[in-house]
Amino acid sequence: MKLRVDLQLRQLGDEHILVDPGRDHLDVSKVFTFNETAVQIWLELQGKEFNVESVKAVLLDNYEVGEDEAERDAVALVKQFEKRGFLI
Amino acid sequence: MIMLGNKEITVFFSLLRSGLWHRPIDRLDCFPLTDTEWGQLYQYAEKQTVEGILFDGVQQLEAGMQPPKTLLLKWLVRVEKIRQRNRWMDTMLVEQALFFNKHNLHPILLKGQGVAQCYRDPTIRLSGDIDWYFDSPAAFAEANEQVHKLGLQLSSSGKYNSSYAWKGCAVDQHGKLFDIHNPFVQGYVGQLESAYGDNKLALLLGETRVSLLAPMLQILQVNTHILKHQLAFGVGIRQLCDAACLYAYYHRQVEGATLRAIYQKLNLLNWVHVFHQLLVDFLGLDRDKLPFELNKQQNCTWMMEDCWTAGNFGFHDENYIRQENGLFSGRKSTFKKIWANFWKYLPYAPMEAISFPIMHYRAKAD
Repeated sequence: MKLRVDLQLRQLGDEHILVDPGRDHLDVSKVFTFNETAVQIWLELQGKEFNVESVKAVLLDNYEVGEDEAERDAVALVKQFEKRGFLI
Repeated sequence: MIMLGNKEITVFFSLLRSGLWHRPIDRLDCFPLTDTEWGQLYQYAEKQTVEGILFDGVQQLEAGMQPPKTLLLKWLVRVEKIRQRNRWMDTMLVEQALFFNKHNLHPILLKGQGVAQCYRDPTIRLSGDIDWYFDSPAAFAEANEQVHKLGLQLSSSGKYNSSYAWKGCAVDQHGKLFDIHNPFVQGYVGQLESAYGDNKLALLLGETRVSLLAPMLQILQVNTHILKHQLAFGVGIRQLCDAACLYAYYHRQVEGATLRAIYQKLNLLNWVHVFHQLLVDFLGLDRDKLPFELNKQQNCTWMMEDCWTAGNFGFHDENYIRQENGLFSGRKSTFKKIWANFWKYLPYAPMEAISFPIMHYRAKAD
């Protein structure tokens, strides 16, 4: 799986907002607020082919978490990304 | 009469200057704004098609001074849609350039994405349509023929302009470079085109090269186009931003004394002095980025009021819209508008003010 390239992560003040601008001429845009962890993972995964294992590796590299917790969080995050339609 | 001094309009220009040149907000004394004032400001930005530039200014405000969250998000999304449209426009440009090249045609891109490159952030300039210039009557005719062969509906406006939609993208083709109507300088205009014609620039889109005019011609083309619209239905703030960004971007490449002499020869210098003052006073263009010194303190407020009322190429002039929808719509209100502009601009660009209505109605009659 990969992240959709048309989604844009923007900083607005202290917040990070992911903008899904929708199809070219249709005004059906959506916005999502990201926390720091989601931002870091998003930036790490951009443009790459990845799976739950790669997400888990990012978490283990950047946060003080155990294997099990990282696995759980990675599965949850990928599920969220999938549910929101961020993946191709 | 528009009150350019009112609070929302003062803030509008302050944010515009900040966004154009990435400078701190120069009228912080006007903040904070109420939600209603922010709503009004956003509407102004939309009307003048400068939402992207203003948003850049908005982001420089401290959190406590920014618009309400809902408006901020709406604005963010709007800017993202502008960026999305610009990416799409680039793909349309590439398709069109390849199409013309296939038929051994090499048109020059006017305004639009070419001028956008002069902005600090080209992606936030709202693009309109694609304008191509063909530098010979044969090339212009051939381009029209090829577009026609594709089955696209081509409409002509006068001898030198045609337009059509390419996959939903509005395209204009031109056989004449400048909107200069004074019949006594047409020979000189042709000489200018020849003199600078070999100094073309290129816009690189992926591996596709699109030709742009030499800086001197780009400046002349954009500025005389603005004047033409001022004489017709008006011009908006975004078009003025184009002129300011062109001057700032190319100021080292354009010989100021030469440009001044050209304006003089075209009988446009008085108009240019007011126009330059407006770019400095309202848009915050640095004086040293102008091609030559300001003449003296010119009154440019009347010209900005004119632009403010008109919006994007005159599409938003409420007086005009009211008349267009009224009982005596069409030709009569068009005439009234052009007549009013004639008197307004006569002292500043006399030959263009006189020639434009004549050529305009002659072209319509052809």
